[in-house]
Amino acid sequence: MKTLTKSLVILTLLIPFGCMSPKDGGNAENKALNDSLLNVQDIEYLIPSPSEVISVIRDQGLVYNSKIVSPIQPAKEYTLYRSQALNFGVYLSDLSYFMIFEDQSNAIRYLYHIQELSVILNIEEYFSDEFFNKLLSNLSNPDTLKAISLEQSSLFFSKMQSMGNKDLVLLITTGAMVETLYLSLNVMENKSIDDRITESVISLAMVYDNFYSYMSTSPFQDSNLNKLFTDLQEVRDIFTSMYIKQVSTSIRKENDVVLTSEVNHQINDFLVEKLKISVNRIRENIINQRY
Amino acid sequence: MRKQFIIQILFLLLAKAAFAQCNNYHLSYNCRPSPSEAKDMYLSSQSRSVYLEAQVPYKFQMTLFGKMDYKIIFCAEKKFYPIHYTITEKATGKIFFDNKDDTFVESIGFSTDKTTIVVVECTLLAEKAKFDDIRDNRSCVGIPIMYRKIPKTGF
Repeated sequence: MKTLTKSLVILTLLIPFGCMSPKDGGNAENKALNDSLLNVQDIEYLIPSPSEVISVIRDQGLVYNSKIVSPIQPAKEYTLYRSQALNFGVYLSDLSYFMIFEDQSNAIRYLYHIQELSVILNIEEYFSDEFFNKLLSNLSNPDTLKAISLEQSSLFFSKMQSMGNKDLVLLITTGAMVETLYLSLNVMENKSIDDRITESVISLAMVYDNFYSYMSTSPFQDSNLNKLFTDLQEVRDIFTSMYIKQVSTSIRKENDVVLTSEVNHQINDFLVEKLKISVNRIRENIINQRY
Repeated sequence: MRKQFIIQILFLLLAKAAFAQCNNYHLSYNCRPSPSEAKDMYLSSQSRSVYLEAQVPYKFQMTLFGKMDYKIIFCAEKKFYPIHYTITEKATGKIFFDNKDDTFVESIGFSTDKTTIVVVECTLLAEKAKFDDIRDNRSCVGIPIMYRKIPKTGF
């Protein structure tokens, strides 16, 4: 009984330190203690928010198509907790997409839907009224909206990391990552790849690399998600098969460092198409609650 | 054994409370860039706030997108300065910047032409600090990361 109480207390205390890379070895108690404060100082994998990625890809030539986002489904139609969380992430990316492309009316619709889902997921406290009001009152001001959207999504993800529910954070992040990839890949013009598409694919590969490292160090606890994990591995394998190799040189210019990179890769139409098919399939499985 | 356990629990409780307080430390007054530094810049979602022990390195891996100007700022409570940090290319392990060679400057600008992954490592050196007990040698650290598209020049 004593041991059980002890374990429970330690477990409860450690929950908010999720999202960091775990260390191997040691007995349960030592591991638990290791995973706490000291290991906050292990390596962390930072994933840029959907707003940041979509904004960068837009600058690289992403075109807007409001029809490709995930259609709003009534919140009650998500029967499983993991489906709610995955789709919540999908809608977060869709919202970012609308905001970055200044589609205010759709942004409002998705904003309300996200608020509704956040109540079901019990994370409404991470979306304060202040957050919604700030967004709503700036919908007609694109520059301010972009800054708010970037800042708010940054705050949301950093708050989420300290909320403690590691699985929920990972599910939302996964949904958001898959939808960001989907949006970025499917609005690239359907023709032979050019420099801009290559550049976007390289950026997505780098972001995915960090996401995959993060996911691998704290994988899903729910065995029902093994299939999703395997599918996400397949995406990583496609990126790996592009052999993106980069060597950078740095030059100091006054107070700044200028990085110039040389990139070698084997990105081609076939691999980009393969990537699209793989991402589209995962996304469809998420939306149709097949995981 | 029991006493040791209670000490560990108390320690974790304090650490947990302090960790929570560090949320958004990167947005605090002493982490803010000057208005001229922040001009036209957005706050990256990769900005961090963490609770660190002096002289223990903290590492994170992040994406620097191409064709961007970045400004990375490191800040902590006063007595924990200087802060030592390095920025290394993940793929090659090559160090792009080590602020030890630059009198431990607290911020650095980066201009990138291609997207790249870097590993940032920072340590609170706290050279002049004297710590009375174990709780005393930890500080919130803020790492705001700002970015903007490289402005076009010429025609």
